[in-house]
Amino acid sequence: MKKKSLSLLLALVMLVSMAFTGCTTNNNGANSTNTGTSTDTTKGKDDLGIALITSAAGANDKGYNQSAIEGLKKVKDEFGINYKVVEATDVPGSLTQLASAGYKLIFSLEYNFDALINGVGGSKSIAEQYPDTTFVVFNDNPNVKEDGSVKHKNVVSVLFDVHEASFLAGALSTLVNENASALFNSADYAFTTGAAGRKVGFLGGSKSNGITVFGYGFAEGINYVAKELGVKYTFYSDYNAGFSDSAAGATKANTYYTDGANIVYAVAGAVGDGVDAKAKEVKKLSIEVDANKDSNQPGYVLTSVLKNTEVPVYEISKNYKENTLDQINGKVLSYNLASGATGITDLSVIESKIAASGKAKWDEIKAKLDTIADKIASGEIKVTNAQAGEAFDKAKLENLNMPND
Amino acid sequence: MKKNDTILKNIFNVVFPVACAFVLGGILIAAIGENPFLTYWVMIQKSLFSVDGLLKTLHFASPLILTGLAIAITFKANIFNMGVEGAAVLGGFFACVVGFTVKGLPTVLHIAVCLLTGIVVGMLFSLIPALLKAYFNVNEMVVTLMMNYVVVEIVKFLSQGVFKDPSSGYVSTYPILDSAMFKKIFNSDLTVFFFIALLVFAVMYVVFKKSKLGYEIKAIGKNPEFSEATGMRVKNKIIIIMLISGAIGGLAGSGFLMSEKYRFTMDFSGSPGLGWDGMLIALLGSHNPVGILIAAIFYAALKTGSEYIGVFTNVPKDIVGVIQGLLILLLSVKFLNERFRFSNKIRFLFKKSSKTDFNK
Repeated sequence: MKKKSLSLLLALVMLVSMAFTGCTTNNNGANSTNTGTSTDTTKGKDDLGIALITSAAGANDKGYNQSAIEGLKKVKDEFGINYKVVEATDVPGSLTQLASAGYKLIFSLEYNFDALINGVGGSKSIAEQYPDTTFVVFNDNPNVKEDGSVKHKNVVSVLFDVHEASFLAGALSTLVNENASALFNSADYAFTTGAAGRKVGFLGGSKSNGITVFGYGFAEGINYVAKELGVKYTFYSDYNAGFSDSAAGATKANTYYTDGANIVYAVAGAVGDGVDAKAKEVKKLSIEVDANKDSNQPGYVLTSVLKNTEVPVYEISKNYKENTLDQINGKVLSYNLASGATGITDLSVIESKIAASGKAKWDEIKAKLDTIADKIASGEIKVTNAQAGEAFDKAKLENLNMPND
Repeated sequence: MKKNDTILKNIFNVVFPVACAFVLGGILIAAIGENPFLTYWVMIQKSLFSVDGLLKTLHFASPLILTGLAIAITFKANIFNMGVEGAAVLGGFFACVVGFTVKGLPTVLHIAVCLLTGIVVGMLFSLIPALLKAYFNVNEMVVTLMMNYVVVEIVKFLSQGVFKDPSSGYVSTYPILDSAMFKKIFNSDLTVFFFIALLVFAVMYVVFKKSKLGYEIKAIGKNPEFSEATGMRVKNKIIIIMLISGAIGGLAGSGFLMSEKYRFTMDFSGSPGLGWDGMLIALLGSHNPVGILIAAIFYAALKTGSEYIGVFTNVPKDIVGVIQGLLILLLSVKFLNERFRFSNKIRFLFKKSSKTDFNK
């Protein structure tokens, strides 16, 4: 009995540890290529250059982090500025080390601001300890006092108007769904038609403002077009998909697809890979997020909602190169549709699947999207920005039924 | 003489796997084209031989000392409590809730209340498997292991719901108030929490080595039926042992939250979590309090060292994850060897095949 339970225990410990080391080694293998390319860049002690701390997803996440690193690579190629990429679990500790090592520009892609902005455990905030270093944080603006004034002059917040990009994706989804039979060859896809097909699915990684901002914008986009066309849509959502389990994502997406949804949008990291694969399997469509992942399953990814960190990283680094960081210090940099840092893809991958007879309709849809984008830019269309704390009122979406928001 | 021999053997049994893990890790580092000696030097020098680094190491060792002890006390009694992770997470979560909801308390009192909450929550959590084990003989390993998942879902639900910080872009509770934070000593990472962990270590040392309970734990671990026959009330003892384990686990979680994380997020415990790390530490320290103390500091040095590696060399910090994995693997081999005497069997096979004299 004793031996039996002991061996069981051992097997368990091994399993648990292997599972964890399994994923870390995996990361490691992928990461080595990355650090390999920057090997020569970090050796020169005299010019340290720029440092970047990745989020938990790691340097090779094919999206958020990787695009930022692409931006740094571009900076190195063009301006010859070195860079250092750090995958940290202890973000405040790494910020301190990088700042004290002498880096003057540090990007932090992780959500972890308490120690940087407010200081914890009675110590001064990191931003205050290293006033000569510029810290750039993403997706949130923690750098404000309660009266709205700026806390630290050396912190820059970068925000993306992803709610607007999601709105476009929602509008596109409805337009494509309504005209699917005209646009595509019926042999390629198996869309559910008629009222039963007026359903859309959304998978979010967690129920937080950083994720709901995508879902709400998407819902409003669907509603906008549905209202114009006078049809009613159903919006299924699940905000508990996590960020790693692509198999579970595929299963969830499948329940939406079998229920009649033709398009499922996943804002949940690697979960999206599973959704794309499932879309191909059931011959329907998915929508990706962060980077341009239209080629993940060519023809079955309708579009990707971009949150391109490359653009701000490149632009801020340019300020660093030109010694003009003080122009942006303490500011909030908001990237809208026009900046190119957010938006939807150019749709070239899905376009190759459009039937010859549907080309005219397709051009019409694209023109329609441009008009909507203009209306957003001019303020005629107002999209709820959950990330900025704006409340979302689903009762206002008359043509959209949200049974499980 | 014989006692000395076994101590030496024990030390060898721990040091050898550690050394092997480092050698294998070194080969990997060399394989990606970096200098393993330099990498290890950065790791050791920054995490143990610099004041800041050492204090940081001790800071991160604090919760690990506690989870290691929490695991060891049950394992020594042959109760396989997998629930220390759950107790730590739950303890941390509720300490956090008290940390931001209760307002207006002086610092010392607020910290004490938060820690106490963590301890009580940890004990309540461990009471369920303890009662099931003691009175219904339900396998505690299964129950505790599964309860960890329940805990994850509960805290996820609560931190996305009632306790959610609406201004935060990710899943997170409110940060705890300043009065509930352990203050950093001399602007280093170290806080009073480390000394609390040391105090618990001292108490547990006495319990293990000098107290009646320590003797009973050992006896129950060796043979529960015999212990019952000699007059120990094994059921009660199982419950007490589990409660102590839960209390220490809860303390580990709440202290870690109040000295390092300051708000509860879904990655609070890290991966592997505090409890799983504690299991490795208990194994590494051979369920001996002093061994656990050393192992926890060693393990924390690996952890902080891994962060420094990421910043100061081009070796990905995940190499430390590899070393940890190898360590568990090699330690398990030693464990197997002790229990099943593989080496003797192998030796026996060799002797047979080489036809040596058996009648020696």
